[in-house]
Order: sequence, then C-alpha cells, then structure tokens
Amino acid sequence: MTITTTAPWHKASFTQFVQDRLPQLLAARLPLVDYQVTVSNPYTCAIRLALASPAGDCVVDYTHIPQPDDEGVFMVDGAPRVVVATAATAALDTAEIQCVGEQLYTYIAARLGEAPEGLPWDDALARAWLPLDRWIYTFLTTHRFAQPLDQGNWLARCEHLRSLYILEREKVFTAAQFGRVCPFQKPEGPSLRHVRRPAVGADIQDGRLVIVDDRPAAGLSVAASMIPFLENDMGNRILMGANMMRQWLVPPDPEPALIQTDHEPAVPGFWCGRNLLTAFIAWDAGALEDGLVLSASCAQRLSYPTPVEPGDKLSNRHGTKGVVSQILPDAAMPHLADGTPVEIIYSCMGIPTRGTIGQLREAVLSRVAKAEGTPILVPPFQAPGAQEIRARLTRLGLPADGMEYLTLGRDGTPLQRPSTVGWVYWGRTNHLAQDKLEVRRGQRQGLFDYYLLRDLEAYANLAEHFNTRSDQRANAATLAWRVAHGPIVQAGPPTPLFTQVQQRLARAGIRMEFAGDRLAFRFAPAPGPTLTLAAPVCHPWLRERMLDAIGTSDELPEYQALTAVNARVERLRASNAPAPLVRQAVVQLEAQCRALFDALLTPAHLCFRNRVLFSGHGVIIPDGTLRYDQVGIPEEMAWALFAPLLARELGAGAAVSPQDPPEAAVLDPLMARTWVLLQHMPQPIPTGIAAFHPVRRTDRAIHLHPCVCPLMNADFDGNQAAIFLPLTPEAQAEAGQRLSVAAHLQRDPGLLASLIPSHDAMWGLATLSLTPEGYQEIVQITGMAVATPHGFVTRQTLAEALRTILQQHGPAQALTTLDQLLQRGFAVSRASGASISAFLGTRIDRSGAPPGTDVAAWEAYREELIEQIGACTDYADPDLGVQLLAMKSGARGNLSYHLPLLLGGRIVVADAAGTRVVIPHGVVDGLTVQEAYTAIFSAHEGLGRTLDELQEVGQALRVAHAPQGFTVLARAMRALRPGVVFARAAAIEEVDPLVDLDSRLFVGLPPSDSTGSRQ
Amino acid sequence: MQSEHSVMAGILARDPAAFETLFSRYSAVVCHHLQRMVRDRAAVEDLVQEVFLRVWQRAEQWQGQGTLHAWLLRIATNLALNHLRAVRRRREQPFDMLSPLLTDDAEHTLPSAPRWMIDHAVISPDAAVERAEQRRLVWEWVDALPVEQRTAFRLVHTADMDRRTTAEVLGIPEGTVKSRLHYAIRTLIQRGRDMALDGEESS
Repeated sequence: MTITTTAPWHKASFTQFVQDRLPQLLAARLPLVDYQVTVSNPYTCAIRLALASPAGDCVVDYTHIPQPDDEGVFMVDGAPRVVVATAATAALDTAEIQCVGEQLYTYIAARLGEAPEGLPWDDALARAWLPLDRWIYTFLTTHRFAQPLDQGNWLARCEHLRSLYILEREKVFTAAQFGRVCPFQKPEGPSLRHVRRPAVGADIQDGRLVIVDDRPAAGLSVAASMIPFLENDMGNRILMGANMMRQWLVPPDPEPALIQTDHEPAVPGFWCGRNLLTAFIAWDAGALEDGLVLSASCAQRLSYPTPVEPGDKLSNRHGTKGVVSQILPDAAMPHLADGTPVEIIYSCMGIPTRGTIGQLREAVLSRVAKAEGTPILVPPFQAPGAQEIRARLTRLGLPADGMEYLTLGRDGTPLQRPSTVGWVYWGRTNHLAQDKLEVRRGQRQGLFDYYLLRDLEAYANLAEHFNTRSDQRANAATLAWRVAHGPIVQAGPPTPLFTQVQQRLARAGIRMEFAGDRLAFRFAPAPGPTLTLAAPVCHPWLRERMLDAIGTSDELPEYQALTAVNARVERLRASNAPAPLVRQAVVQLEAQCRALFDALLTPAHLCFRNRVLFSGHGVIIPDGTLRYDQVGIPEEMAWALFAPLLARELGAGAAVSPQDPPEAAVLDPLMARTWVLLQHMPQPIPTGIAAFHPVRRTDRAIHLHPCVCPLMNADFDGNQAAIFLPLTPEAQAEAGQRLSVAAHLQRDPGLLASLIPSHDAMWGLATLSLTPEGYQEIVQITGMAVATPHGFVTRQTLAEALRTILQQHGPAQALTTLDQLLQRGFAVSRASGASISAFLGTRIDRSGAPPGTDVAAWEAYREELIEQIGACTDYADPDLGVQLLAMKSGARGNLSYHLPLLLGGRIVVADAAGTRVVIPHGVVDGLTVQEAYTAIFSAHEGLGRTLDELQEVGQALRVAHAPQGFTVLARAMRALRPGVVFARAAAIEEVDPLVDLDSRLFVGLPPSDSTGSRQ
Repeated sequence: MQSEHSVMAGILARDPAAFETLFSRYSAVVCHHLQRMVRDRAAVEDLVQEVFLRVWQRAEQWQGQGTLHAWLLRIATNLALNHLRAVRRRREQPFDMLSPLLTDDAEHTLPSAPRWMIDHAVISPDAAVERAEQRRLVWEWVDALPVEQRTAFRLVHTADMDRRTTAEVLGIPEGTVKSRLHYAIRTLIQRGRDMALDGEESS
C-alpha cells in the first residue's frame, strides 16, 4: 500500500501568495499598475512590478526571489530550508493553519508602508520602500519557522517537511487531533505540546487541516506507520521509535527490513537499518539498563561512516535505544544451535516495564522471513496474532514459542534456559561517542552546579570551579603551564564573576569596594571613558538621583542605541529646538538609559557560572570491570587532563608525548592516586557529583561502575557526564573526604537503598538464592544470614544486610560487599539464558476477563489476575518465570502495575474530565486502534504534566537554594533587578560585612566559621 | 482657535507657545501619517521629532500656499523617504561592499560567511548565525579604527545620519566626512583581505 509522504501544501501556499495575495497587498498600499511573476528555475522566480509615478511608470525587477520546489524545499545560500506550517490552536478541526505563503504575507504586511499619492517613484525609492527580495530572504533565514531542512535521512527530510507547529500551549491533545495528526509522534521534550506530524491521511487545504482518508492506519504519521507490530508496543515507545528512526545514519548499502509494514517508500536510500540477530536475555553489566553488547562482526556491519565504538547509540523501530557498552569477539557471544553467533544482546529485564513486546514479535517472525527468504508485511493494526505466528514457526520446524537454547560461544556451554532470539531491524543513530567527547574546552558550570557543591560543603572544589580554574581569570591561559611547574595554590578573592559585577556597577556610577573582609558601596563617577549625557536623567536604579554620565559599554547594543538618542538630544539643544521636542527626546533618552542599565546588570551576572578548565565530557556506558571507586575515562581525555601533572611528575617542563608507553607507566599510578569529579549532567540531586579514581579506557566513552548508575540516575541511552580534575591539594583531599561514593554513603546512609543491585544482577542473586548452595554463597559474601521471605533474597532483604555491614564496618566494607554481590549476580544472569517470551502469559488462565468495559468489573478481574500470578512459584517456567522472579525480588517491574499493561485490564484516564476507562487488551495481545489512541492520550497528558512539574521543581529549587541573608550582595543575588539593590546601598553608603555564605563564595572568600553550613 | 497663519507667525517670532500649539494640534496626525508609511514604531517617534524640528528651523519656507497640514505631511513624507533610503544604504554598507571579499565565491549575490570566519565546531551552519558573526566581526574592526574615522563611520551607519548632517554634528566640512569614510572603508576591506589570507594559510 502506498501512503502519502509528500507535503504539497508548501508549494500550493507559496504559489497562492506570489500569484494572488502579494499583488493584492501591493495594490492596496502602492500605486501598482503591473505585476508579473516568472519562474527562473525550480528554486527562484522573478517578480516585475510597475508603479505609477508622475514622471511615468516605474518598472522594478526583483530577479532573485526564492521559491520552494514541488517538495516544498527552498534553496537559500545553497542550503535547503523549509518553512514549518503553524496552527493557531490545538483544536485542529477548526484551527487556522498558516503555511509558508500565509506566513510570508503576514511578515511583509507588517513591514510594507502605505505610500501617499504622487510619490516620484524610481528604482531606488521602490527598492527602499519595498525591499521584497531582502524581506523574503530575511524571512527564510531568520524567521522562527523557517528552518534548515533536516537531511539526516529520507524519513528525517520527509517528516521535517510534514511538520506542524501548534502555537497554543495549553493542551497536549484534543479529540480533533485524531485522524489529523499522529497521536504517537511528538517530541519528548519541551516542544511536546507544540510539534505534531500530520497524519498520512490528512492534508492542508484552504487554511485547514482536513482528513482525506479516515482508515485507522491513515491516522499515523509517516514514521509511525513504518513501525511493525506497533499495537504490541506502548505508545510512548512508539513515540521514541518514530523519533529515533529520523536520526539513523545512512549506510552505503541499504538493507531492507525482514519485517516491513508495507508503507515504506520505494525510494533509494530509505532503508537505514540492519537486520541484527538479537538475543533478549539476562546478561552482565554490559547490558545494564539500556546498555547494548555487540559482536565484532555486528560492529563491522554498522561501520558507516566510521567503525562503531562503545558509546555510540543504536535504536530499533520499537523505541528501544541504548549505547554500545561492549564489543565482544563473535566467539564470546551466545550462539544459535546452528552455530550462528548472536550479533546484539539487549537485556530482557527492561522489556516488561517498557511494554515493547513488538520487538519480540518482530524477532520471532523474522525467523520465518529468514527461513522463507522473503520479507513479511505487517501493516499497522493488522499484525498477526500469537496463534498465527506460532503456527508459521511450527510449519517451518522452528520452536513454536520462538525460544531456543543458546550456547555461550560456538559449541560452547549451553545456557540454562531457552531464549527469545531473532532478527530485529536496528539503526545506528547520529549520536556518536566521538562527537560527544570533549577534552579541550572547559565545561560550563552554572547555578545548580554551584548549589550542588555548596550543599555538599565542597568549598575547595567550589573555589576551583569559580575562581582558580575559571576560564575568566586573566591568568587562565597559563594554568596548564603553572600546573606543570609546581603545585597550584587556590586563588584568593576577587573571583572573575565578582570583578565583572564590580566593573559593570562602576559604569553605572556605583563603586563597590572590596576591603579585606567587607564590601563598601558609594556613588562615584564612572572611571575610564564615559558618555556625557546631553541632559541629566533620573538614575534608572534610584529615582531621586540624577545621572549625567555613563561609562562606555560599546559591546552592548543598548549602548549603541543610547549614543544615537544622546546625539539627537544634543542636536536638538544645539539648534535651540523648542521645549516639547527636547522634552520628548529627553524622555527617550531616559528610556534608553533604563534599557541600557537593565542590560548592564542582570540577575545572570550575579549567578555562579563560567567554564572550568581541566575538565571534559563524554557519553557514559556501564562497565562491570571497575571497582566502586573507579571511573573509566577515554585515553584521549586522560592524556589531555593529566599531561601537565604528568609533566610535573616527570620533571618540570618535560614534554609529554601522548600514549608513550614509558610515560603511561607513570601516568597510571598518578591517576590511581588522584581523584576526579564525575558529574552526570545536569542532576540537581546531591549524588549528581561524585569523586572517583580515573582509569584509562581505550574507547571514547566514560565508563561507570554499575552501582553508581542509580546514584547518578544514569540509564545509558546516550546521556553524558562531565569529568573535572581538582588541582589544589585541598580540593583533592576534599574530593576523597566529601565526594567519593564512600563519603556520600557516610553522609547519608539512606543512599544505600539505591545502590542495591537491580535488573540482571538482582535477578541473578534471587535465582542463586533459590538453591541452598546458592544461598550459602550469598551468606558467605555478606558474612551474615540474609532474609528470604518468599524463598529467595530480595532487594529489600539485601539492603537490610548491607545496612548492618555499613553500621558495623563502615562504607568501604559495605561497598566492597556490594561489589561482590553484583559480580556474582551478573555471573548467574549471564549463564542463565533467562529471557522473555514473545507470547508472554500464554499459560495464564484469562478466561475470567469481563466481556464489556465496566471499570469496576475489570478492577475486580485485575485483582484476581494479579493474585493468581503472584501466587505462582514456578520461576523456571519459560513463559513467565523470569519476569515473575524479577518483579517479586525487586529486580525490575511491579506486579500490580506492569501485569495489566502486558496482559490487559489497564485502567487509564481517557479525557480532560478525568473519565476512567479500561484497556481490555495488553500489549502482548495487541491493542485495538481505539485502545491505542485512548492509552496514548493518557500517557501524553502524563508526559505533559511531568514536564510542567519539572519546570516547577526547577523554580522551587532555585527559590529554596537562593541566598538567605539580608546583606547587600545576598539581597542583590535574589533580586530581579540587582542594580536597584546596589544603588540603594550606595545611596546610604551601606557596608556588606560579608557574613552571608553565598556572598563570601561569590567574592572568593572561604566560608567563615559562622557561615560554614546552611543547615 | 488660532489660525494657521498666526501660529506660523508665532513660530517665526520664536514664540514657544505657538510651537506648543502647533505640536499639540498636528503631532498626532503627523505620527499617523508616518506610521502608515514607515512601519517601525521607534523610527516613527524619531521622525515626528525631526518633522517639527524642521518646521521650527525652516518655518519661513511655508509661505501660506496650501494648508499647513499638507505642508507638514509633505515634510513628513520626505523625511520618511530619506529614512527608508538610509535604511537601505545602511543595510547594504558596509557589509555588502565587503561581502565579495568575505566569500569564497564572489558571484554569490547573497553571501554566506567564509570558512575561516566561523568556528564550525561551535556554531551551527545556519546562514543567519553566520551573517550575525560576519557583522560582529566587521563591528570589531570598526572599533579598531582611528577615532575620527570611527566616529564618522558610526554616525553614518549607526546613527542613521547622512553625510551632510554628520558634517554638521562634527563641525567639519562634508568633504572631510567623505574622506574619513573612505579611509575607514579601505581599512575594513584590508582587514577582510588579511583575515581571508590567514584562513587560507592555516587551513
């Protein structure tokens, strides 16, 4: 079936603009007597117009007017651009849609003046009055909705041309959007409420978005309609799947998917993925959260444009995304019975909670496609059911449930359970580790980073970040040289941030003098070059004071505007202009002074923010080979950060040649006794920053110990972290004493709960504890009995044991034990072959499901179902055993929430009025169109609320962390117009005794004894 | 109510009250007229002042032929046209003059920034950003000009003055303004060439 993938509205709208609406507008405002448009080439047209003039008609030619081609693409300065259509409101049945033509009309109408009669038109005047080519060019290059065309791949280009921006912010979704825009495909971030993709069955006609095809599948976007088995995936994952397909890199040799939806276009270069033999199994740290383990030959198949490496991000059509954590030799991968090595391992633990059963169905059906040698078509909402797939597998002599026993290595040890394995279509995204690695430019640190360090009382590191290692210091350029030549001493006050405020205040006539332990404020003429005002005006920050000169501020556009107004006042006065004119100009002068002062000192100037030298960042991946106090950093970063320290170690001024083996022998022990700070960006949680000993890794990713992941909220779907190297001895000591994982644990023993293994490691430990011998192993590691309330250890019982260890033996012992448990848990998982069935829940008796959609009846049934499954203790059952133990042990998932999601009976809120409805089918059965759309409404409203809450949390954090004192600097740091605070202080010659903690840190002083802690 | 003639007689006699009357009677209509022609609120404010300053300075030019209203609107129209022409001139200079030097391909009518100018690692390849960067650089060069050249250049290109007004403001002959502008532009072109060469050598 072919679907509409074009966006004819761009061309249609532009044509109407240039043929009809523009000449109408020109005729209404100018003496237009002739108007002609000729097409020069697909991207340019020429407009000739004639204006009536007393001396005869004036003919003007605009020869280079950009126009869109049939696809809707403009070529401007040699680069393609698109103008995104906008909708006035979210009620898309009635909303006015503005495409490029309507937007251009509005833009030009706002600029084109109305000509009085009888003007002597000539070419120069006409072009001055109507710079048509300039206006259209400026619109296309600077307007918000005129954007460089995303040319990442065929789909990215197609979907950028088929985008719609909703101007209204209130609603995420309205009923009128069904059929008109894709219910699934929306941005994940702040644009959630605004950006939509028109459904393939919708068109923009006469300024309205209309439905021209009302079949269910026509209600999807182009990208969503290319996701097979989408009825078996959770809506939010369809959103991610569709969004990430647009980010897939284009391979030189396209490989069509084994499972297709029949909606794919027959155009070269469309297929960007690879059918990769994927095992959905429990594994070790490499597959933690979203980590992906690749075989060497798989990496080979993905080497476009460069060889794939750890930290690169892959995704599949079902919204599964993750970074490559490890590339193993083929021989180290699990193998099929026929000796074929698995190409990619994705942990089965994440699937029930994410509801991405579609990828399992794709995997097993692709076995059929592979065996039959031809792709299988699975159009949206027409996916074959479990029975049909099982029958097809059986016919070909394949295991009916799509699961088979794998061996570890070719003809190696068989894994203990049958696993779901098959070909899944994965793409390599444009998120590459090499692009995310940054070691040259210092990392930006802002207000939240300041709060983090301040609240952890890490004052030495704070002083380094905002003073000693600030890129704003005059001697910043020599820092590396100084490090190489001797120990670094912490810089004293003032900080560059303070100096900047001081200088800006001076231009406004306010002197802020730093005298050892206090700040004195007074008014004083601006030092250096000044602008004398043509007339004194009220001081913008203090009404009762007059201002007659301002320090020059050439870098501010407001200052340029002020000089222009000032020159006019001067001229008016010089020409003895009458009072009303001078008065009016002085009012303008006063307004321009206010504008300048607003720009001169903003709240941002009183925020802690600068780049910090000796830092870098990169993408994070899990690494089970690290100790809990280690972080793996890329070779390139290690040499860049440590070269000056190494030079000092080797003898001052020694030239360090990167990756020289003898020098590496010095570097490694140096790194082992040095702390670096790791900050997962941006995390306003106390454990968002922690200190580790760095170890070199040969790839370009930052490696995290698995235990640290929950602490830092890391899930390995492409997130990045920054690394900072403290230079002064006191910052180094502080890193170890205050910021190491052990120190965090010492400070807050409650953190232990989040350090306990989850996922594969926890499932492994629970499985281990099912046998007496296994349980004894755990007892041996922990040195005590661990409770097994349901016959196995749980996250909770392990946490209790570790809490005892922490209390009795301290954090180091607790962390070592944790490490050992983790390793053991992973080892069990890795050997288990534990997996997830594509036909999950087949053996569960679901005959009691209510026939209708009565919410109360379904609630009762749901309880029964949960009870029935919860009572099962057959954890070896290949149907549901693994998931049952994972949920019961706390490894992953929750019986009462995730079972209805998978097996049916989920209750969701279906509309803005809060109506609760039941979704009878689970993602295992496949949702009906109606169910999918109902569920997505609820999910996306939830997403919208989360975004709002995040914003509120940010605001609340800002308020909660603001300086609390009432001295001058503290007041200014809280103020929306800090200048007003300083001016008042200067007026009464106030003195700031610098007793407030934030004020002291801003100036560059250590906390005084009385301000040492905010608590 | 005072007649147009008596108001203008008062203005010729330098009577502030007569000007107040004129201003309060006609400023709204002049403003409206200018707004229809020049759709830029800030510019209109300035132009209104300019219209009434002209009236104050050249009141003798109204010789009672035609209505005062029409004469004011004629002044307003002329000033508006000057303004639009100045905007066009400013837009095209100095950037358009420099653009052939700043581009790899001098035939581009709408120039994009050359490779040497932009740190592609940090700035997205967006034409608008590139042009902003180009302008910023040119203004940096302007800042480095000798003070007389810089002042003349700024008055013409920032303060939107024509050469004659610039000469009046600076108290120098118009020819001197022209020569200062000439040297300023020559220096800017040289800077552009130097940097283009630097870029080629380092790439």
